[in-house]
Order: sequence, then C-alpha cells, then structure tokens
Amino acid sequence: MTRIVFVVFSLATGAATYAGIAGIGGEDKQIANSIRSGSGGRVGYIGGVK
Amino acid sequence: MTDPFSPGESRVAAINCTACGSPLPALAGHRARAMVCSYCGAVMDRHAGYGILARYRDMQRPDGPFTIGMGGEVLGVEQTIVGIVGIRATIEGAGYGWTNYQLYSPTHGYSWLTWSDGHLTHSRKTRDMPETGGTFAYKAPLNAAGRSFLMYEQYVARITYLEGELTWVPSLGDSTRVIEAIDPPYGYGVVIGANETEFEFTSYLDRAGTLAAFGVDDTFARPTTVHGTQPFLPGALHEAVSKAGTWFAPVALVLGLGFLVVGAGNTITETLVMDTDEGGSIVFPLDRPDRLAELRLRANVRNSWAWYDMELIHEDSEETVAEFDGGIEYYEGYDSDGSWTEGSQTATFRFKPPAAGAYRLTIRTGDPQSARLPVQVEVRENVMLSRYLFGLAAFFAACAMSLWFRRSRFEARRWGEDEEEDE
Repeated sequence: MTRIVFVVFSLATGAATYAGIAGIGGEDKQIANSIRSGSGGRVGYIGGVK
Repeated sequence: MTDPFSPGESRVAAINCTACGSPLPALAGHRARAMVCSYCGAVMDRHAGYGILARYRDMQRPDGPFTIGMGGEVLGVEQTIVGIVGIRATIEGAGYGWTNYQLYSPTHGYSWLTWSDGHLTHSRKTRDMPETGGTFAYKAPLNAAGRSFLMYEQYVARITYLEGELTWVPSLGDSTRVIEAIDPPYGYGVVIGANETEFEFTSYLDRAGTLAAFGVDDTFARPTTVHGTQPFLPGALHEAVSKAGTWFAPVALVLGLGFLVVGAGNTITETLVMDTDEGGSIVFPLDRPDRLAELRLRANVRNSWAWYDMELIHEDSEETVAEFDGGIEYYEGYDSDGSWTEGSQTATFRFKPPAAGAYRLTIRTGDPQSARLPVQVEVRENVMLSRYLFGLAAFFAACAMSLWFRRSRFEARRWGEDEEEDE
C-alpha cells in the first residue's frame, strides 16, 4: 500500500512540476483567448477597477 | 447428587440443579467453586455436594454475544464459556454495564472474556504486582507486568447477574473497587475486594476474529465509545498516505520555493514609456511558445489609477495576436486603525506566444480620466508557476497531519476529553 501511495504522490509531484514549468493554466484568460482566436479586438478589462 | 470432580469419579457433561432439577452443563474444572442455575438462580456449592447457598430469581441476563457452553480460541488458547457475570458501575457520574464471561481452558485455567459496548477484551489474573500502591491518580504511571501503564479510571463494580460455573462463591450485589490502567492494547487492573486484592492483565481483542472463533455471527451494534485498551488502528491506506505525505510535503515545498526563485523567468527587454498619451512600442523576441511569457507594467501611481490599451503584434506576419487593456491602481492613507494601502503599482499579464519570433507591443493611455505617468514595461520569458507545487505541498502536509489529527481525536475519545471539550 505504501509503495502504491508513494508512486501516486510521485506522479502528482511530477505533474505539478511539469504544469509549473509549462505554465499550464497561468495565462490571463482574455489575452489567451485573443491569441488563440488569432485576431485582435478588445478583450475586456484585465485587473484593476476602471 | 455427587461431586463429579471427586477423585475416582469420571467427569460428567451435565448435572441437575439441586433446587429446580433443570439440567445444567458442567464444563469447568475442579477449582470452580459455585454453580448458578440458569433457570432458577440457585447458587450451589460445587465443593459441598451442590448444596444451595442462595437463590436469585428473575435475574435479567445482560446483553452479549455468548452463551454457556460455547467454545473458541482466544489469544491462541482453546477456551470454553462456563459462566456469565453481569456488572454495573458508576464512573464519573455515568452508569455503565458490561458482561463478563468466565472462560475455562484445561491447559490454562480460568480467565475472563468481557463484552462492553461492543468491545471484547480478555483478562486473566496475574501475579505481577504493580510497583506503586493502590492509590488512583488520573494518567499517573503504573508499572507492572513489564509494561508502563497509565492509570485510566477507578470505579466500584457491582454484580447484577450470575449464571453458570464460577471460580468463587458470589452474591448478587457484591462489589469490589477497581483501578484500571492502560497501555493499549493492554490493560492492568487492581481489583480490591473486602478480603483480598487481585491483579488482572487485560488484552484488547479483535472483535470480528473472536466472534468468528466462537461461531457467532457479528450482528451486534458497533461500539459507540473508544475502549480504554483499544489500539489506534488507522488502516493501511491512511498510514501509507500519512507516511507519504510526510516525505512529499517538504519535497513539494522546496520545489515550489525553487520555482518561486527561478520561475520569475529571464528579462527579454525593459523600457520606459514616458508619454503614454502619444504611446510607445517595444519589439522583443519570444523563443519559447511552450512557456509562459509575462508583461509587467509599473507606474508610480499614488491615490490614483492609470489605464492602458495594449496591442501585441507578431512582427513577421504583422498580425495582431492580442488587443487588451488593463490598469494599475494604488491608494494609501491613514485612519483610526493606522496606515493602509490598497492596490499595487504594478500589473502583470501572462500569455503564451502563438509562435516563436519577434513581437511588438504597443501601449498608450486607454482612458481620458487615467493618470498620465511614465510606465515601465518589462517583458519576461520562461516564467514558471509555483502555485501547483505549493498547493500540493499543502495537500501533502494535510495528509501527514490527518493521521496525527485522527489519533488525537481517538485519544481524546479514549480519555473522555472530547466530551469535556464539547461542554
């Protein structure tokens, strides 16, 4: 049982390390959506209060 | 009636009650002193021709899974249940009851199997006397039988039910003072009677295994309490998760701190746009489309805000890949609680470039009401995220702590200290 849990925790640590290096989920959404759509256009407010 | 254990007599399997004539199993050895009729409550002297010593009618048999005559293995020894004794006690103002089953083994003699709130324990007399006297002190150490016990509770036990063959001649209502000490899964009891003091060594039993050994289906209610001698058994999975959490929490924490240091990435370019009304542009290369890039703005706003319109253009294709805006706001002041601040003089925007190559960022004031201040623009590449590792470190730490927390709760229930907390 301990071995299985150690393997699972190792995989989780590896996945978190990979996600951290690759920056998965770290993009600001509005910019990311705009970049993926490949076009410009106002994409809303990012941070702050206007 | 003859004594079946007199020299020269062969052992018989049953006798008839000398009071009511009911057949009673004779299962115990010669040392058993009394036979209590299951039907009429007559207490007979086994060593004096089963003469009637007392008679207790209408006794209510206490709850329990066993009956006289059942046999099974307890702690590796084949045992037979030969007698039943019901006990009541008042401990710290609360009434408790349990059932003692007199066990007999031809090779190991007499001992007790106790059923208490669904817990099963085995007790035997011991000659190992405690190093301290018979004074009770809560959680005080009591060394005996080669073990270090802690004093658990003391009470006066009173007999409420009698049945079968017993090693002494009991009377209904007899009472003894008992001091119990524990070192789970073991216990040590000092039983102080009117004429003598005895010492008992108790072992907590696996309920399912013991009931199965006696051929009893476990249809009884689960325990509602933690027994004094009950060991804390968290289960293999929880132990493994806690152990792994102990190892992995610091690993994830160190990795997270490492990411915090090196994950800020490397600066590609840094410039100051003086006139944001006129606007400015910066050209910079981004070589890793699989990594996060970061645009960091800094303006010396104070009790004001600045808003910027930005456009990110891929230089080779002249395609606008993103148009976005964002602001910086920062306020500070003093009030009755002291100084306060709100907001920040920096703003960051993270993105993944759609392709490697040169990019141009244009920036200008995006709102007429905006403060007009020079803005420092910094572009960084290879930005890493430490949030996942910190989150995982917190999860692993929770896994490690959960066993400690569960054990603490278990011990609090054992010692009745959770009730005090609830109150």
